[in-house]
Amino acid sequence: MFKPTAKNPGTESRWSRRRFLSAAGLSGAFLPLLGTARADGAAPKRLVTITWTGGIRKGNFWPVLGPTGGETDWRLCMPGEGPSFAPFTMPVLEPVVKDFRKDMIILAAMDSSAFIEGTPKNGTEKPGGAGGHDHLPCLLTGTPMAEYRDFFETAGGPSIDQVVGRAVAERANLPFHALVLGGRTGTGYQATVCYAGKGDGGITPETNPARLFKTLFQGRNLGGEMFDKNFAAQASVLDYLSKDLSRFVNQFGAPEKQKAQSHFDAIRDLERQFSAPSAVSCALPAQPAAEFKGDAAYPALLKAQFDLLTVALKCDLTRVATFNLTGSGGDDIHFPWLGQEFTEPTNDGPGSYKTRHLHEISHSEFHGGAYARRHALVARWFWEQVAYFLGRLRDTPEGNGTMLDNTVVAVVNHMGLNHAVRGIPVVLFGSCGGYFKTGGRLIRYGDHKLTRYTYFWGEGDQSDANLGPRFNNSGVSMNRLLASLGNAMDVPMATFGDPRFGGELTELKA
Amino acid sequence: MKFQSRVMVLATLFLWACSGKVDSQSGDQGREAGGGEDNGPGPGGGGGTASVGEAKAVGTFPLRRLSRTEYNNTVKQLLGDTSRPADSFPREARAAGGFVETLGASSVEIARYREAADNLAAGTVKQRWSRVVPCTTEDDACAKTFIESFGAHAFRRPLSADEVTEHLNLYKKLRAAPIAFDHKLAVQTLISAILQSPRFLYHFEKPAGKPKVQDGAVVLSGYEVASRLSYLLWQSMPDDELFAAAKDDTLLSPDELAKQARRMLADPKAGDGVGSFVAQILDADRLEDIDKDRDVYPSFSYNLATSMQKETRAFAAWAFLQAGTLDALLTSNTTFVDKNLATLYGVSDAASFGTELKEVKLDANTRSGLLTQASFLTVQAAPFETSPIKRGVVLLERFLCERPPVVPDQIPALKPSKPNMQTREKFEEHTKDGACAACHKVMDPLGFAFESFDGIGAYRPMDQGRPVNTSGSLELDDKTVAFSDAKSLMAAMAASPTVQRCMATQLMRFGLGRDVQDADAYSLGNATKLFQAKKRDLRELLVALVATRSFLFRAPFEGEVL
Repeated sequence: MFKPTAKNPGTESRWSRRRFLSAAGLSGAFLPLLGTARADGAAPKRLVTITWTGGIRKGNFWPVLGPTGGETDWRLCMPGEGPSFAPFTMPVLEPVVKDFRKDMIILAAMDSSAFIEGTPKNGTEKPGGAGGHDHLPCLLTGTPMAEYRDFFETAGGPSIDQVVGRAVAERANLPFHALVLGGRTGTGYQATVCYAGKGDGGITPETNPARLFKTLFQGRNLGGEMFDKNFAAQASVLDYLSKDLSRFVNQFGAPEKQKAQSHFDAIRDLERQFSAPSAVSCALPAQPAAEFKGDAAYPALLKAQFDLLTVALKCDLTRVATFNLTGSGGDDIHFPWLGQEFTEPTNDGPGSYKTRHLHEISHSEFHGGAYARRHALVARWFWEQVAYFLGRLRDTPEGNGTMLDNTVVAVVNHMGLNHAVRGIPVVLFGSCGGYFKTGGRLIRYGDHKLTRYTYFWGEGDQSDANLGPRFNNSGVSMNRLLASLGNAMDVPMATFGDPRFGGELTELKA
Repeated sequence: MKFQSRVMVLATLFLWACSGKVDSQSGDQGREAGGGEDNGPGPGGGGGTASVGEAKAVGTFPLRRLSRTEYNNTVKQLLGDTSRPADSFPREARAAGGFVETLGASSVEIARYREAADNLAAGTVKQRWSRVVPCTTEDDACAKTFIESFGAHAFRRPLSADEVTEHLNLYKKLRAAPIAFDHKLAVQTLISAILQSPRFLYHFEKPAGKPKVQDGAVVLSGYEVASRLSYLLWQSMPDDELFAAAKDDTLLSPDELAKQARRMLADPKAGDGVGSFVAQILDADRLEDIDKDRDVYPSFSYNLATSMQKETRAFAAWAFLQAGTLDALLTSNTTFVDKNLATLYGVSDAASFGTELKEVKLDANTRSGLLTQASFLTVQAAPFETSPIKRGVVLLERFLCERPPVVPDQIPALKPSKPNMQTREKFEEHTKDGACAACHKVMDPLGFAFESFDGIGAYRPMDQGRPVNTSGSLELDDKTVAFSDAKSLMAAMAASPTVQRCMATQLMRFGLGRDVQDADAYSLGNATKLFQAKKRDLRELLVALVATRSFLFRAPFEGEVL
């Protein structure tokens, strides 16, 4: 009954809503009103955000300006080239610059304004302080926190992926409004940059590829009698839960209602996943391994997630996704594949390592020399993972170009230098269907004064041990980039989040 | 009763500047107090002189879901399933006092609930069918019998006639074309649906219809009280005896309530309740994924961390339920160790211990209660050294019920430490500096008392080759109390009215699933008085708490029709 019928991914090949409803024996009254066909004929635009923690180190991230000072005249700093205060130079961006320079815009740099200026008593401009761990509820929401306490913060509003995702999914009738993926979620600190709305403590990322596979694809292009029955039974259960939650929510006043509402919304999202049409012409990806256990499996875990994400985007199950490669702490990620210095064993048996986890490595300002080197090696490895995903997009033809052309991939670290919430590096890849002017641009903002070594930051007070006011080097508000991303996705917005922090960065536009 | 928004409360919090001492009169400002403009002494902190509160005031009833622990324990009792499915659920947030707090569920929680419910339903139908289905015919009549009995257990209250019909309709839909499930599969699907219902997942056992109201407060029904009682004492759902007492509200009589509470405290499940309480206060669940710098602590291992968690639960059960006093909890040298811990603690003959915990007495000169045991000392420490700040803050916040000072805007750079400085000496830099001194003079000395224990809880009389200094003083009950080490600090704390009241406050937070509010002052005061009169007997404190107005009444919800 639910057998996929046609071969075109556009419209006819999707299960019709009416068919679904009649088979499930549902009235349809509780389902969101959905269109029956894809309205826009063009290749879909997409927004993918990739993020991880640990910040940047002097001498290994920001490019060196060329003689003309033009925005495309830059190169990466090479090993041994750094000044004495940053002896561990390493071109950590090389993995993406090598193949994707023409697709890039480097933004130097962004400030988490909603945290710095909006969140009361945030105060964490402190050297090595927790600001860079704490401000995640502000980073992609552009909104001051609703509540700020240690190891637990709530957002003051929804993050950009949720707002854009809902608008796009509604318009284009997509099963998933936005995917929130994870690598490892970390411990204690925030696990995510995605927030459903005010008061939300964070949308937990899906870190298990097998579960993600099941959520995305199970049943979607399988035929057969047994499947159809289960599908209909699941829809009946969702119908039951939806009515149940609706009654439940409505008996409460504001504070309780808000909590129950997010539960209700999540059930409605599930219903959408069951009722929205599904692209059946996509080849099902390989079933990922059931488990990715231990530190050594982390690279394979990220690859599996990137592969599933690529297919989900290609099949148009969603157009918005955020991949939290790490949580905000990074205490649970070790890098044994990066060499002997990461693999000194412990007495926990084979496959366990002395504490050289991402968090400790990112605190190299406390630990000194060898850690700065490790930080560079780790950073470079993360950029290799980004390059892998960009390659998957670039190698998938779509419309007149590739999936990468139709997408904007925003790569955002949680931190700037040494856990700072200012000077956060952001790199965009892809023009989002021609909206952004790419071409390997380096766009500089704020008071990052430019000299040859500007992007080592902070001259005159350079030793790692002595941290000081140079954390106040400021860039441009993250809010302005968020507004640009919304507009690029054809969700028009003058500002995003707290309007005090400004609107779109017009210089990014083509 | 007005609901005060968290944001507003935060504003108050930040007004609380560092006063330089632990002030028994100011500790509650900034807590999430319910209504009222008055920022005077609140119900939680303070010594014997705290406000007696208003007898008829009543606190709020925030909506919350079962915690991961509660979910695991509940499905064990409901279905006989011991697979601990909630271990794969996302961690809860932490609220005042260190207790878990469930916020709004997002899509991942919902997905996990679905997955767990499907697995639990399948496992139950396959392995424990007769446990949940009390009839053998494969028809609507049996389905109805099943719905009534299983529903009443899962929702922890009987179903209304409408609810029975609602579930029966789902069953019928599943049996009919086009789905046409057989009886077993339809029941299985029904079990899964019920386990995903908010009526199962939330602490909300309110019967249909208007609640009973008295002096403007809602009187909780027998079933609501039964669940409060069982989740406080067992971290699980009520058993049949408690359901029976709830049925006709006999549970609401003070005698029956005390009788049930005492019966439940004598049940082995009470160990789950106090174990979870203590684990949350200590953040002991962080031992699941904590790591240490193995250069500094070569004997640390994940196995050792697991042993520490077990010790904490075993000791909590012993201190609360057997020894039964605050004094035992804070000062006893009795504990429970396996080979890992026997080695860590330097127990003679450590090699003779196995993987099972055994009761031992540690050296009474060094070990004195819960806070001199490995869980606290390990979790509240840095990966590579101890942390007097972390240890001090936990003491302040969770045993004295004082709000730790807020980190100020500008933190000056710390002076680089000189070689061979002791941890205490490095941290004393804080108390020298004008800007930092006000706060750190309060927090750090409490932590310095534990400097004779390293970052994984082993005894270390020396740091950097020199004897450690564990002495200090604190302002307690409006007196200056000097201590020479953790043992004397613990003795002073166990005897302190502030600490005793804080223990009552913490148990109330745990039992109500929310912070204490101004309206709780009367209940808290009475329970504390009784606790003190009964020689700090923790069991008596629990029995007293469940009989308080705070436990048995709630404020109406916003807009609730009474």
